[in-house]
Amino acid sequence: MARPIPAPDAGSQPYWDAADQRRLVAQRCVNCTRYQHPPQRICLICGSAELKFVPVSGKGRIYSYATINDTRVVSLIPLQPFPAVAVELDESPDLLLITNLVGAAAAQIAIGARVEVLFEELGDGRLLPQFKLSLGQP
Amino acid sequence: MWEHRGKVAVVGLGHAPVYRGDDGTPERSLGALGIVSVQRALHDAGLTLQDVDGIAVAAHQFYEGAGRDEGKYEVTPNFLIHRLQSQGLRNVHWTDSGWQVGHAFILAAQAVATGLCRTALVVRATQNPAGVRYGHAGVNSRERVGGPAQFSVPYGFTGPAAAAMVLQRYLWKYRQPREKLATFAVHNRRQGLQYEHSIWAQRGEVLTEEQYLNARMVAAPLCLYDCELPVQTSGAFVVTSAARAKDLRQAPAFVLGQAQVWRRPRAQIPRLDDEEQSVAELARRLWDSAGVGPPDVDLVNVYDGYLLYPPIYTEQLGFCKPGEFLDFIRDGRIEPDGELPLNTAGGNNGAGRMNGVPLLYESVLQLQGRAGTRQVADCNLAVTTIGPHWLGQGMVLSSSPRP
Repeated sequence: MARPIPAPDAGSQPYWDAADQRRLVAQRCVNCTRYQHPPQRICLICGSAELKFVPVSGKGRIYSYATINDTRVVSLIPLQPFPAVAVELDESPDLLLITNLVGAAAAQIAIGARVEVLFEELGDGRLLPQFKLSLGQP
Repeated sequence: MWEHRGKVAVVGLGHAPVYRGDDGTPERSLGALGIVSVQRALHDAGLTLQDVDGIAVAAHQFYEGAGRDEGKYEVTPNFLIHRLQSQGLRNVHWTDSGWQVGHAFILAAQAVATGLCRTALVVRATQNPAGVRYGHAGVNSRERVGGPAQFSVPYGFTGPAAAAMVLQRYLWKYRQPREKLATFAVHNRRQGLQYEHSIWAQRGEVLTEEQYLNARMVAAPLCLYDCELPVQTSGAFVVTSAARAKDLRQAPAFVLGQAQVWRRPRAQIPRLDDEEQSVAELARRLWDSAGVGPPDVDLVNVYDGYLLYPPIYTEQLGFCKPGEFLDFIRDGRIEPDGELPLNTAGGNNGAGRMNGVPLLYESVLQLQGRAGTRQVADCNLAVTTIGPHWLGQGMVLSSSPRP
């Protein structure tokens, strides 16, 4: 079995539609301008229901990481161990995205390392945001 | 300070047998274990179901894919009341308080304190379903995944992964190596082996530092022994007024104060700074409620579902400086005869995944002088914290209503 495919709901559809077009977007509150991820029905800071999805650069730094050695996701067991990262996007410290880190050796993974988004093909035309190290950049 | 300080007490403890997992038999169903824990708690107190007019259950179970039949896979207020009515339970106030026993306890204690109830049961059963490895079902086994899991399951990000990331950040911030946790894991197992309601005590399995350091990783930096073992069991507490407590079977453990926080992370993991602030907030509220502080405390029992949690709890409660826990625990300091006895029954780590029951249970046992080989001398004031930091619950109990 392959990697599980996200099943969007009405609230998350714009996020996944953008991903399928190789664009990373994040939810931003119209009222207080704060960002949040994952998308919600209201702003968790100010309570406003006026939210929109805005493009983000797809660049950030590793806030933290973990090596997944014993996932509960049955179809991904054959892939382990694999790294997971929490990426703090350049746009805001409010934005911590969880993804895997593609193509990195364990010794290269460090808090503060620069990363950039890429999109992994899942089948059915669906794409999944992932991150990779931005090597050679401070 | 809590207006009802010292007016409420824990007067009974009851525990079902501890099993590694459900096996489909009626005797091992979660409902049967819940009933047994209640019956034992009342017997311990010298009370009967006719005396009970309040039930606070933490009923939520997390496992993916297992059923939701009350009594088979869940212990809900509805199930308990329905079954116990045939055994003498009459009208009750009841509440279902999520999944951490502290939430249920805080509501039960407040209900008794205000006179809404005279005697309340607090119950938490935890399940390990039969036939599937814990968590490897439901949303974690589907081709398409919706709901909140759509942002984590495709990445294999489950179970201890979030706690692992927070621990990684903690180790980075304070320049500490994960290997220092070995001392704590070995302590928890050694203490858990002396605790009657521990899965490890049943197995008689010692943990050495070498075993810890060579253990397989689950979500690095969390290794196997940093993670609580899923089990099938139930624990129950009887709470009543201090006035009633005088005439009952056990020495009362009086509630001096209690508090909780709920600062749900907005992202998929909490930021370390937010975790520390959540516990700092809990600590402020708790010490204010109880009218005591760290120098007054004889015993600390801090939540340890993953070993990420005790360092931040202990530090932000004020027992040592931020980042110092991994050095603080050395040289016997946290042993029952040490400077600050801590997690003297080994917590969830030393007993099994019970969502905080071992911590509160041990605090009461110690205050009552019933902790056997783990007994702390002159143990009169205990602080207990339960839950991940962002939803932490705290209770201060004492052998005296006015210490």
